[in-house]
Amino acid sequence: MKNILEVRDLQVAYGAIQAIKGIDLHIREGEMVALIGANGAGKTTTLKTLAGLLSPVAGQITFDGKAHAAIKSYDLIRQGLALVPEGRGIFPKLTVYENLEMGAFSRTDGKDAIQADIERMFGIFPRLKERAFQLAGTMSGGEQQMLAISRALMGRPKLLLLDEPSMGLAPIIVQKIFETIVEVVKGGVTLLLVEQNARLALQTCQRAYVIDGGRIALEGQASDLLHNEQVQKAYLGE
Amino acid sequence: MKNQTAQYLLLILAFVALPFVVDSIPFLGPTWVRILGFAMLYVLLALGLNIVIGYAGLLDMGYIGFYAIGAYLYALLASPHLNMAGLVDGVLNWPLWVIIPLAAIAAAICGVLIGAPVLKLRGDYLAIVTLGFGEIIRIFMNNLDQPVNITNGPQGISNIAPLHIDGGAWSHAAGQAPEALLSLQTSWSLFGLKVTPVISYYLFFLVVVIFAIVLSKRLEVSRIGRAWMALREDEVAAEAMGLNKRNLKLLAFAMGATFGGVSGVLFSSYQGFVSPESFTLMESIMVLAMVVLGGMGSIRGVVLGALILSVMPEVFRDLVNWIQPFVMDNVTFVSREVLRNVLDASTLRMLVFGLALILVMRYRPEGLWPSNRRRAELHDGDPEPTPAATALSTTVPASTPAFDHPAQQADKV
Repeated sequence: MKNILEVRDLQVAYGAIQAIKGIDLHIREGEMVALIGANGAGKTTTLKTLAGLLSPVAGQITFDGKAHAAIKSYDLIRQGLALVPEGRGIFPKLTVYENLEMGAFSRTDGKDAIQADIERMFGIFPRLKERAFQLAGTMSGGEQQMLAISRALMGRPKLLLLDEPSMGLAPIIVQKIFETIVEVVKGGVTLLLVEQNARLALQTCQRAYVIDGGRIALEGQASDLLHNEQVQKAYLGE
Repeated sequence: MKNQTAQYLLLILAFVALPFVVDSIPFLGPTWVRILGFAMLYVLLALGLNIVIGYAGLLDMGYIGFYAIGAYLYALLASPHLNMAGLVDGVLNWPLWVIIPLAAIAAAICGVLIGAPVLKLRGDYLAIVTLGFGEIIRIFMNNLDQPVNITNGPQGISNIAPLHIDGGAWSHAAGQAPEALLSLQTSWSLFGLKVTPVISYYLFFLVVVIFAIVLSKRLEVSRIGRAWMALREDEVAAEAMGLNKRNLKLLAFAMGATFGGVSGVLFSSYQGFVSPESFTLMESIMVLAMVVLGGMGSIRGVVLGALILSVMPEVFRDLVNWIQPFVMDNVTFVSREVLRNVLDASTLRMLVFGLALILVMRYRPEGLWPSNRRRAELHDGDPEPTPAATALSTTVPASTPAFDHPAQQADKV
């Protein structure tokens, strides 16, 4: 399997403060990879950089064989890279249906294909179908997260960047959302998952990176990391 | 649907008939037809500002600057001023079909120029900077009579040609204006009704306004309109969807400015005279108030807001002039000096204005006639389901054509 994403010595700074001090990672096509770490470790910064919302100070990112830096941020989704932002970031004053349409904004394969995909999303998340013409902001947190994920999938991404899907949700809802994520990913999407809930992330994904202080502290198979003493102490609270 | 079309036609017919009725009522007469003409110009301005504020959510407080650009452009290209200032040979008399697109383009370019440096600003900060830009344009007009007299400074430009179509000459010798083939300045008759110049102007403005409404509506339900709304809601998410934030914002500024520029051309020809005084901050605020009062993002609301705020002050003026002598004669416990100050049309006008805006903000924050979307948003917790709420919660039809669902159907002006 070829690498869909390769990151080499990535450094990102907010002004004088360097948040990412040089990380290397790679994701193979069809893989589910988790990026876990404590607050302020640099998880979201990494993801934002990958989504083109921040520009790196140094390092190279290669996405799908192309130099990431050469792709304009608004073109990334067209190239197959979608982000589900932290805190969901849906459009609260557009309807659920319109949110999904926005997800397909950069697609050029016609209304019918988009319509078919919206129906597909409604199939995956029946709750969204019930609420299709309701303003997205009036839905519960869990429903909004479902919408955020479906909206990103509407862009038909090759690589999905998921930022803290469990944030602020009840455990039972989180469970459900993760089950769906796994299902969706099996349909041919590669996933990079950023999570605070390390146990859940490690149980879901195949491989994982542990980020600490802007550097990769550990990497390996998720099942190995789950039993790693260091990880258990620091992130799993055992 | 058919019923709705009929309603629109009836509404248009009513607006066409309005000036004739007003003209024939003795105590209203041509003065009031003229006021209606200005009301149409304000509707056009408000529709333009609605694109910037209502759709894209960019709080532009310098909007009147584009109006000024359009007005001055027409004033310079269709009046003897540049000839008198010794800058050109012959009196310029550019054809209308050149000036209107030119004004639209000039205003759009200025919109982009103003928009470009403020792209990163939002909300209050954007308002303050655009406010400054609006003032800069006015102050330019005020001072551009030196070293070369371009705008004639505070005196303004007069003798501006009325809207007309002639042989197509771009200029003529001083004092030898060619016979116009068609001029709004001459009376004509329609089915036996005498159409005076002021009514002609009104009707022409009405046509432009209808065109602007159709354009606004098309924009609102277009891909671009949706993108503007997404950008207004959440910039980060919108960018993650692959929206080009910069271009979309600049486009909003440019589109809004276009409406302002065209409106300015019409104003200039209607008035026959322009000076920087017509383009003060107060005017910008007035147009903003029309948009807010009517309902941001709602075309029907914005039209209503513009009509109310442009006609009401005049009603008020008449009312005060009528009441004033009566009160002056009968009230003795207050000094006449104070009475005269308080019972002044312009003082009272501002008082009522402020009061009206406060009441709207308190009781109808979504505006007088909001779009169904806004209403649903602000009255979410209402026990009684509003008609809008039912429209929004309709279940998905088996094959909903993209970009055309019940919420928008119900939303048509």
